[in-house]
Amino acid sequence: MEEQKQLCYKCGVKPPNYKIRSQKVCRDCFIKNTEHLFRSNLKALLSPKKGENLLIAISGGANSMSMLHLTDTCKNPEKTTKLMQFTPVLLYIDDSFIYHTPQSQVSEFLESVEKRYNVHINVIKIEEKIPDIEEQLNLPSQAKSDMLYFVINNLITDFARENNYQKVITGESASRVSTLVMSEICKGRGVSVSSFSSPILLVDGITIARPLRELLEKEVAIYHSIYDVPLLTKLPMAQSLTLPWAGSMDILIQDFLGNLQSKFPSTTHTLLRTATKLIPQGNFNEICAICKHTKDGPINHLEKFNSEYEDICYACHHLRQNK
Amino acid sequence: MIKSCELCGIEKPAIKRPKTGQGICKPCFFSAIENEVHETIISSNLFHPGEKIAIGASGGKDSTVLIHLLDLLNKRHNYGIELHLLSIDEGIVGYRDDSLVTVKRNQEVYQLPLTIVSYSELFGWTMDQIVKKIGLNNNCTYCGVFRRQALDRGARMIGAEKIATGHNADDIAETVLMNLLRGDHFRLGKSTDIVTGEEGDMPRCKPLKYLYEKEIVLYAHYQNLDYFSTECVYSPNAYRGYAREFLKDLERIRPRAILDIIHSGEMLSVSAPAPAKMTCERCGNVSSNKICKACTLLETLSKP
Ligand SMILES: [Zn+2]
Ligand SMILES: [Zn+2]
Ligand SMILES: [Zn+2]
Ligand SMILES: [Zn+2]
Repeated sequence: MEEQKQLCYKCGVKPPNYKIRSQKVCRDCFIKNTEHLFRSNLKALLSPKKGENLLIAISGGANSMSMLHLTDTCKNPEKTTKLMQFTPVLLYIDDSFIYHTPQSQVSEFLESVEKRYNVHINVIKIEEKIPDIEEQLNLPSQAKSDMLYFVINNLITDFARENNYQKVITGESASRVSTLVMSEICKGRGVSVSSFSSPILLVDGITIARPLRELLEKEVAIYHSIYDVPLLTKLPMAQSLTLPWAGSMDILIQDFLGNLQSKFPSTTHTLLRTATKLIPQGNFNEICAICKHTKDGPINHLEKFNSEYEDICYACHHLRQNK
Repeated sequence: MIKSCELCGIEKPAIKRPKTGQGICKPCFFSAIENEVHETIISSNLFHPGEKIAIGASGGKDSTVLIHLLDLLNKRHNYGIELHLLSIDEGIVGYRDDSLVTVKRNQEVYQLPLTIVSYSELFGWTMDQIVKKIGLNNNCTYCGVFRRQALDRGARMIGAEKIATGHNADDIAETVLMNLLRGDHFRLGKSTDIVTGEEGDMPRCKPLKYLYEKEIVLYAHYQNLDYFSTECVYSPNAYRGYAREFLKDLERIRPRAILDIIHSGEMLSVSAPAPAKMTCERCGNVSSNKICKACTLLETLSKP
């Protein structure tokens, strides 16, 4: 009896290597599970067809780099019998200008990825596309990081539109999406929670899918380390830009949810399930000029601003107030 | 250099206002709080002349400030409402009996009628007896369900049209987060409404909805209000504790966060239809099931 307990829950043969959401699993089964889940998610969300371009947005982080590796398995006959025939197109938004990442480190990273996956990476330098980016990001650390997040997302959709790519994948894990949902609720962007939490969204006619949305950060990290996928290390913005560090909301939220997740293993998935059931209260037709999500205005009469004269949402109004 | 109050520009600042960070004098702080609550009441049309309002009075800081403000604003702005204090005696020795003494002192100060309804007369159980029977695991669930119904029945007893409770901005933001984390999407949409339960249920309103807890504490302190500040002897559940601590950390980084969370809740609704309201077959009170939650819990208690 004692020995049986020690075996992988899936195959029941091998000793387990990891514990994922209170289930013990062996290395082989973990890999098989993860890759299978990824492929079926990708198929269900986008069903990329033969010869169709699939834009893969990578940031150099563990999430998007694991996504790239997983996308590669869809074309690997050793991994699956149902090979997918889409054409991968890679896009890297180079924000080293903001993070002060050494240029040599970035090019070394990009070269290693191109070589390993036998692909070409399209690179957009943020300061070339947006010459006044420094001025736009002249904000306190959290606001700066929020603004940069929206700028990068907009650059990805712009690139897709300009090149006529209809389908895009981004690498947010379940943990990342739940942090995003929580964080947007705390910043007043609750009206858009369903799109922040959704596994798939339509922006300006382009479909953006998140095939890692069911995987916890821990699962992604394990997968990433098994295959030793290339990684570009960046300091979190709050640390690299505003020393001494005053504290950033996103880091606090990430710690809070991570801590809760370790005590209550269903935290992340419960949060995501709840968020997808929430819809805006009322009808909104306008899109915010900054975050490209629903434009709403204040309900609280004590807020002394009138959103009718602005083209930005309630949260972006307060984001810009930081200037 | 000594700065002067950021609002009047005359007096010396005495308070750093938690919500805005402004350094202001005491009189300006008082009028800011009073005007904001008045504006909230007027803009959401909370009260109508001739209405009798039951104020949920626990003796704590929130309900004490609520009593003070409603009494003051009713006189100052002629709302024409009749105020009646309503206290719930859960039967917790060393906590509720002491706080009820505070409520009775306030009743004298404000010269308002007071009605006390107790769990033991309504349900046949005190919280102390319930804890003795079920232990310290689920006691807050019992207390919450019973308090809801007790307030309702108490308010009907005194012929009130509405119940006003002392929920503040922190409480509401915390409830939004709790409902999100616990997966209670139905409650999430409702938790930020300033008035709830209008269909069949006794309407409840939260005039302090946009007031920060820290400001309530300051207001009570500088007005020398008489309130009781001990935590319930049966400490609340750990999960809510995490959410509360998180909110406090968040407020430290960004004081606006409390208002922003409330705003997020205000903009949200649920995509599925809400459960239908009916009356409990056993006790006749409003319920979302054939048998209401209070009756279900009472049945569990009566089992050996
Ligand atoms: Zn196995
Ligand atoms: Zn916006
Ligand atoms: Zn002043
Ligand atoms: Zn009942």
